[in-house]
Amino acid sequence: MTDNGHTDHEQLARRLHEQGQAQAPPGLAGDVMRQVRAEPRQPQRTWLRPVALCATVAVLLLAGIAGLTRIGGSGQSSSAGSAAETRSAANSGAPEHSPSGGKASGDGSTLSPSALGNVRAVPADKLATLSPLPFCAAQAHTYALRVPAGRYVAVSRQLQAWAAAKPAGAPAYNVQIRRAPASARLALTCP
Amino acid sequence: MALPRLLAAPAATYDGRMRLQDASDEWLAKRAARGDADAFEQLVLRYQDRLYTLALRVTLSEPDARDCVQEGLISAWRAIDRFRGDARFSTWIYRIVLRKAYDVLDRRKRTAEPMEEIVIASSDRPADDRLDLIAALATLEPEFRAAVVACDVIGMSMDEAAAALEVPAGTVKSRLHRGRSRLAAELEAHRAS
Repeated sequence: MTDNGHTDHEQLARRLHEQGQAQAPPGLAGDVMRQVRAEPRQPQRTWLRPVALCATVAVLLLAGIAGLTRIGGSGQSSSAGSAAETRSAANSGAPEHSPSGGKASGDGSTLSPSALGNVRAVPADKLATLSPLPFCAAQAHTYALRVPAGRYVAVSRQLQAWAAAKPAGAPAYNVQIRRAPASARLALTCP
Repeated sequence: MALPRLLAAPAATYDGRMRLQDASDEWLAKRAARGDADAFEQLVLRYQDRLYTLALRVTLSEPDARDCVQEGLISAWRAIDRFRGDARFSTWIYRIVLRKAYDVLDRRKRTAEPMEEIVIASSDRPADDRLDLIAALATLEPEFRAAVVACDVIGMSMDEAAAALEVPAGTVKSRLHRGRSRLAAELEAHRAS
């Protein structure tokens, strides 16, 4: 080879392209197609994939909507139940509700929606007989008392009686009465 | 009553045969994926020579090349619904047949079949210089030979060859360069002798 390498390579490539070609044997395509036609393909249902995808998305959306609706419904029934319980407790005359209709306690602390009432100035020693007094850093003069539904009236009356009989100067706490499941135990917690 | 112009116009030019011959590879592949054997046949007719050339120049054996092409096309028919048109159909089918050819080379290496006999067994015996070129091509190692065949004999672009050979384009370029250099040296040595 006398030319430079690049030209050599170009010439070589040209020769390879011209001389390197071969023709397929005569019966090759026929043999292939005989075998192909012997094993027909199932027509591919190309429309099925997007339809299935849409159906899946629709089902998931419906399930999500149904789930959200159910959660919303139970929330409403829960608050309705709370309201009904509060009304029934009020009808029984037991708890002393806060002046602001249960929204805020006398000392300005905000009652949660599950709070049923607020009894002020319950003597600390009496309160401690119900449950150990927890240490609450945020609101030192208020406790929340979780009361099982069945004992609500009795406990609120007891608290009111204790508050009424409180000796002057004795340490006392405000008590927010809160609903608890019937199986729960009386428990003082931080508000 | 006169037919609308669109319906009445060139019915004769749109018979099935014309459409298949004029159709693109990818369109035919889509039809084949739906079970249209005629569309697949069009692809077979279109590619059989190039595939056979590729397999023959890589395996250096006519019977093996024929088997590679036949098995490759049947595999393609079975798997054509997996061809999604991301790459060109040609690249996809070249890759299938090249894999078959590499399988042949691997099998041959395991059974230690002598290469000389395979080259001589080929009935591809045209003019002298052509024989020299083909014989020189056969002396290259398979990976260099495959790159030279893909790019120079078949005429694939560097990227297409890279996809078909399943190696980076840089590797194809390097193999092609070294393959051509060795081929040139081989031809020179042949002439000198």
